[in-house]
Amino acid sequence: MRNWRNIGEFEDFLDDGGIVEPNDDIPDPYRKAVFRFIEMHANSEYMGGLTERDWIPKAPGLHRKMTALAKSQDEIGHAHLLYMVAADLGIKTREEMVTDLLEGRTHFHNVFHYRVHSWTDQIAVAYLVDAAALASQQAVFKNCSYGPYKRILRRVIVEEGFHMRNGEEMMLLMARGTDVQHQMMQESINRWWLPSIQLFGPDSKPDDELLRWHIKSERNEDLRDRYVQKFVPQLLAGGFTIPDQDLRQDNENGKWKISDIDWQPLMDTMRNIGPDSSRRISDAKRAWYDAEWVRTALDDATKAQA
Amino acid sequence: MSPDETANELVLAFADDELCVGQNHSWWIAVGPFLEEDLAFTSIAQDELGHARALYSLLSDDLDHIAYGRPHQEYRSSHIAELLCHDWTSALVRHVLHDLAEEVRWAAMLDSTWVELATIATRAAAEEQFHVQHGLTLLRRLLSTPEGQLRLSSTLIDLAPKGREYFAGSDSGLVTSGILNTSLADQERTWMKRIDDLLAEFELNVDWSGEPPSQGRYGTRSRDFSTLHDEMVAVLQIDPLANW
Repeated sequence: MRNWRNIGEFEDFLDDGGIVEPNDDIPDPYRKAVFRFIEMHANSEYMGGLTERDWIPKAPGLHRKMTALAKSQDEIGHAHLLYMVAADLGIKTREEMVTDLLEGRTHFHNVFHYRVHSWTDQIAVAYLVDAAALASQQAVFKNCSYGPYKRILRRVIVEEGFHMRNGEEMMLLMARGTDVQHQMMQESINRWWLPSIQLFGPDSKPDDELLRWHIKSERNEDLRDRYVQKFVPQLLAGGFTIPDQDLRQDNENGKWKISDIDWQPLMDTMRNIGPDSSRRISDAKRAWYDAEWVRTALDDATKAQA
Repeated sequence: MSPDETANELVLAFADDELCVGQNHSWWIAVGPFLEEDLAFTSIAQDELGHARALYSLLSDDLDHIAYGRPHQEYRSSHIAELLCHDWTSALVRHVLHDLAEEVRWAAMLDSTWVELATIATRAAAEEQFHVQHGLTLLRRLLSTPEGQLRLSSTLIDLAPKGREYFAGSDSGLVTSGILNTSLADQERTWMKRIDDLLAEFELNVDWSGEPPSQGRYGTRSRDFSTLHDEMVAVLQIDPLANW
């Protein structure tokens, strides 16, 4: 077991590119911060699966249905891996994390507090939301100081990349599609643009400990800006408009500038009072407690065998 | 497509069973008893839809039309496959009954003289081993507990006879021509024996004495089918000519 005499020495280790492993004598503040971060990521993958669930039975055609199923399987798989990595930090068991989530004591990303209203919303989630999530995850992966999380992220990022490309393919199909499809896609972009932008969070604080401890490697505002520079031209090229009246392009450097963001919707999701928070959480909660007998019976069967 | 209409009808019925069960399993994403089960049901759902797709491809080049575009009376699915199963107990029981039946049905096609069908059966039979193992392991463990017995026994005893419809329909001439190596009646007997043996481990009995159901095979749809089919085509119908 590696240990450090004080937090300063630990931070020097991190600054030198050191990778922390679960059997190290991890300083408590770091352990708690990395745990909270991974728990939120796991919760978000789980709730992401639920968000997309509404439209999988309605996915148009065999190919789309199988693709949508595979994507949701990936999301649930990510939650599964991330909960195990978080549990290894010894703060909560997986069961405690799920219970805390369903009782509203912990959080998940803002985008999964919104309802998927249509098939093109499902496309917007794959295209806009997954791309935003992927950008954040890539930034964490690049320089992540917690070994088990970094190793899981390698796989998560590859799979999220497939999701984003799948979303992009479907978005382009709608862009070139019938008037009805184009209109539906535009309405979905109108609904999902701002939540996707807000996924990056408000500007990072100067003393952000997640940055200092190399859990995150880039500031929120930098990631958000890069996303805007990439997605505004893509959407415009598809013949869509961006739901931002003050959006403008700088004459000199050609960069896109979005209007000031109203952070209240994000704050609401952090209090679990977003547009679809209560239905999302209550659906998951009902399913979880309805099936409690299965978990208990399997535990009993295991004990009886031992 | 086979020149033998009975063979085509058999494949269509099997494909429709797979389509309905795949659709039904997909309902369980993210709401199963624990994450591993969410993953298992989602994975099995993909396999079943893959089987449907492979079987439909023997009958038509327009897969989405044959899968989703027929009038209800032209589907040939068994009613047990159409059953919505929005409680996990019946979802698990149907999964076990369905996959045990599939195992027997694919085995009867492994050396089919319809070569493309034999190829599909070989791949599907390999996948089925995992489905069956998953379903049986879980069911046995749960039935070994008092709570599991209480919750599952009546559903098992109630649903098992409905599973006989998996083997309903005509197989006239199919064994002679080598499309099947075992008649539907013999497949049904094999499947019933497997169910009887399984239930006997837990001192349970199924009453097989009733008339075996077969309406689904002749075009009558169960009440649940409309709900299932409405969801399947909800987006396609927004603009049936569009490419989604």
